[in-house]
Amino acid sequence: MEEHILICQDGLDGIFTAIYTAYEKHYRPEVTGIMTAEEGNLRLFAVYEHILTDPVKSGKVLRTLQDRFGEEGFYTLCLALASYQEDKATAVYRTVAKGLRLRQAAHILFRHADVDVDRVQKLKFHAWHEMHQLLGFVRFRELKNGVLFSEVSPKNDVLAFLADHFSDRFPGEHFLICDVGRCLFAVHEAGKPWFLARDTHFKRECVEESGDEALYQELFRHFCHKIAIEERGSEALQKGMLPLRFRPYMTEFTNSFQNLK
Amino acid sequence: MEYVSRETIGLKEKLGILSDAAKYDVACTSSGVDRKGNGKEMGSALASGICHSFSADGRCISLLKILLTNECIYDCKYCINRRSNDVPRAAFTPEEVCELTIGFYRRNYIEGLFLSSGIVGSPDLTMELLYRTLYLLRNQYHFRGYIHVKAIPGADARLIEKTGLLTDRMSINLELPTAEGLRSLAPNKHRRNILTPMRQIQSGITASQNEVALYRHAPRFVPAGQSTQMIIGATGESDYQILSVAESLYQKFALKRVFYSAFVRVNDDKALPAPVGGPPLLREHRLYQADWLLRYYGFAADELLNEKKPNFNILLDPKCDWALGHLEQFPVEMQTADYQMLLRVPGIGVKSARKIVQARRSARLTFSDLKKIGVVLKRAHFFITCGGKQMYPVKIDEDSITRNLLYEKERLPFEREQITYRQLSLFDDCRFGPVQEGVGIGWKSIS
Ligand code: SF4
Repeated sequence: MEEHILICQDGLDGIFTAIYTAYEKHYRPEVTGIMTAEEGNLRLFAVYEHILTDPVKSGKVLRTLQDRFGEEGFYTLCLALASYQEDKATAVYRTVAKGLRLRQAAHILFRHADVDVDRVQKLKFHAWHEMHQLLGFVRFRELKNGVLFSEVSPKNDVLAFLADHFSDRFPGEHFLICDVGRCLFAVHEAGKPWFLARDTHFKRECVEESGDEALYQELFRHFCHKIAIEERGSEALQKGMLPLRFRPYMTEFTNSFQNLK
Repeated sequence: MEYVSRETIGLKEKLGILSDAAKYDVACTSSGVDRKGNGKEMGSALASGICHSFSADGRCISLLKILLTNECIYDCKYCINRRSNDVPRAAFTPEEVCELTIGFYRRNYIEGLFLSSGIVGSPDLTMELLYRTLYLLRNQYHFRGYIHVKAIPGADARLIEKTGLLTDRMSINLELPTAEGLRSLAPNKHRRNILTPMRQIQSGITASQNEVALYRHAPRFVPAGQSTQMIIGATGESDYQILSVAESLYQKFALKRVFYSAFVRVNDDKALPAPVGGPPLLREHRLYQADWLLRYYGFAADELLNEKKPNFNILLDPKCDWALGHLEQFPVEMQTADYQMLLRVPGIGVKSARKIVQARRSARLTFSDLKKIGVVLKRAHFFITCGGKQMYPVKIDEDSITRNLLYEKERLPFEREQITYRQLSLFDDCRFGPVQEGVGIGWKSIS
């Protein structure tokens, strides 16, 4: 039996195109994998194929998944695909293939004893967890021109989920959220839908804060300091709940954002 | 310029005083209500709540938790703001509270506002000020984020009603679990003054839910429900008494949450106990675990504790403790046990119980499936069988299981680096201090 590995661009469009191709060519899911980057060790006997992202094909897959898996099921698949783990695309593809054989595709997601489903649920949980942490940990700074600006550096590709949340919460604000590691920006203009943009030339030194900004930062740091009950103190607990990797971007753990690299 | 900077320092100092004074209120959740944005005004809310930060004591910071003022005409013995204390006093104007809330919210520092207050002038005047602040925040500053406000005991019912239409959650602190405790430590407060508005809020919530069911756009009264707080370890109640009080609050007043606050001795007052080794955190932790069992696991207070066994086991969590006392109900077969029974197995939580029920419809479960599902097998395996088999051949015998469970050290949320679990449990004052005799529950008679 021939093993196929499809290599595609990371992101929904790329992976959905690969899923489309796998169906089109009648590959067998059990022996077909989808990778978003070249593997270090090529596997003997596997046939590698590079897939060119095709919006028409990916659109078809997207609609099928939305239809067959329902809103919640589709959300689970998307969050799993936001994971940074290498095997995400394969796990999602195989889960989708198994699901589409059922009358109610979304029911596959309850089969926790299935390896692929279990994997998808775990990937989803981790991406969801980080996304949910960031809904709280994102810190905006007000810039001279009134734009709210934030930097994050998540492991999983959750920027789109953040943009969705904040554009709903702040419909009247202009804001920018920058995923530092991926050079990706979520851009929201007041009253308009948000979009993602890539900019590798962004210079953070050019960011200038508004006149009120320093005051609010100072007030918040003071508040966080005052609200703790010393007698109960537990830094270990704090570290468990708010891992250090988030802190460089958070107002209450930095004196100023200017010296952040 | 001079003037501006003086103002600034003023605001920072005020915030310092008024958040410091508010910190002993332990509730900081922003949960209970789902509200999408409306495309125009600022703000939304998520039923699960969102934690925005964690303070140095490990507690979640979700709301801007402040007092409108820390001045107070009352003299509750346990409270830092009591009249007889010589502490710096301050008061926010309603506008200042609004500016701060909006400024913090826009920067995503917070999920909303938690506003409380000392009693200025009279309960009515204080409630009026709280109402005015909320009115301004909702209507002039167009804030749609989460608001939790305190209802002031003894305030006019109409003020509470109006305020309830602006807030998401309202709470009135029970302060101490029994009326006797209240009389001895909070001489200006009366049980009746606390329970009356609690009842009013409960009926308001029910009425509003009925109305919303009929007219979708009817204004919503306290949509995230009401909560309360009890101080643990300042008076001599047993865990059984406290848990029974919590249970009747859930059943008779339909509270969303009861919070337990380990007593912190902020005033040197001879009416107050002096817990050795700091606040009774382990006791507080056990109460939260048991509270969870009441709300989500279908347990009743007197299944967990009773007159003969009035306090929690220091070494075991309440669910393990219960299971060990009811070994005749085990082992439980994973393939067939009903959901309620699954919930009673140590090592199986609400999520994993639900997943077990889902997964066994399409496949026979194995121990490795259970592990994938999230069952904590090292605890659960004593109590379950899978396809009629135990994971390891162990005797179902109280002593040996207890020994094994204790061997698996329990993770506690408040462990400090140097203090071990064992030391902490010995420090925990409640079981070693004098237990006040004859404090009746008295609560159950209140309907
Ligand atoms: S009423 Fe009692 S608990 Fe509340 S602020 Fe005044 S003294 Fe403190």
